[in-house]
Amino acid sequence: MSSVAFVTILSAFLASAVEFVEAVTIVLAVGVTRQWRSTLIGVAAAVVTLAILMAVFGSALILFVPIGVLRLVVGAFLVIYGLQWLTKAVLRAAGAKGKHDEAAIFAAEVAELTAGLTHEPPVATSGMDWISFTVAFKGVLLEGLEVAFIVVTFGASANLLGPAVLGAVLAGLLVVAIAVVVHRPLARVPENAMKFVVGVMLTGFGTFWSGEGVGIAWPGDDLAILLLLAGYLLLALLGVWIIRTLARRPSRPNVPAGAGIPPS
Amino acid sequence: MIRFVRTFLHFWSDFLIGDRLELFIGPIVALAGAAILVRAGLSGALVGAGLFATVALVGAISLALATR
Repeated sequence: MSSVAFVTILSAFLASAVEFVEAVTIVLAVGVTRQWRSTLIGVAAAVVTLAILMAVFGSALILFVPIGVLRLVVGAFLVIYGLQWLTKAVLRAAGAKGKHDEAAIFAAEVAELTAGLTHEPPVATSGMDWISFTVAFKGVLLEGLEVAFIVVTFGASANLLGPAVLGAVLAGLLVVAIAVVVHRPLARVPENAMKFVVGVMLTGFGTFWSGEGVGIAWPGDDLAILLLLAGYLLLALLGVWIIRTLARRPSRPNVPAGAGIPPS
Repeated sequence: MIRFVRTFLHFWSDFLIGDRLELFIGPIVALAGAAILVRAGLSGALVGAGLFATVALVGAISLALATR
């Protein structure tokens, strides 16, 4: 297996795992508070919708869009998306932004759904509960769209759609298997560290492909990817160190971690 | 229909731009600059290094704005 194929599987796996954890948190919250049958039907409907979207758009991208155009457009999107993940991960690692807390999100979802029960008729024990269906469908579809976006664009640009899909499927199976066993939100997943790594990978690969798209002949060809990844990783770590150091300076007012910047 | 289009556009703008406009515009400007320099005949290594530096600068500016 080539190093690019391995990195493609790893990137798709990590990015997908993060989104799957968020989707599983929503599904667990709905299933526990309302009705499992309708929740699982909502999940299945979202998975089928995502599979159709991925098959149609993945094939269309590879078959009909010239590889140069694909790498420019997709590379640019990956840089934009990668920078968003990376800057948030840097802020979280430096303590300047509240960390993603799946246990808190689960509690908030449960509280919201439980509050809804007081205003609405009780959940039917048989038949469809459309609130369970809709919340599960929406949650899985939205989180899954992010996975699909990364997997399809990443796989299509590298001409490695198969390995990218494999990485996402493995992540999905692993997260769902753990959720079935522990039956509660996956609070111990190092989500921020994973987002940090994925942010570096998306930004690095995006820079390489979009650069090729505008006509840059990278010195060393694919080896330039490793240099870009190392460069972004070092700068991101430097960013964490600088923000932490500035926050500790005595001349600044003592602002609690995460104040002013809402977690997302 | 209008509501659907509005929701659709809002989803994609939230998905791609989010709350940090500079992270959307910065890389596009950097790529446009790189394309111009490549057409002008500059070496791949030089333009590639410039693209990397500009993307990193965009990230640094966004971090500086977020921690102001």
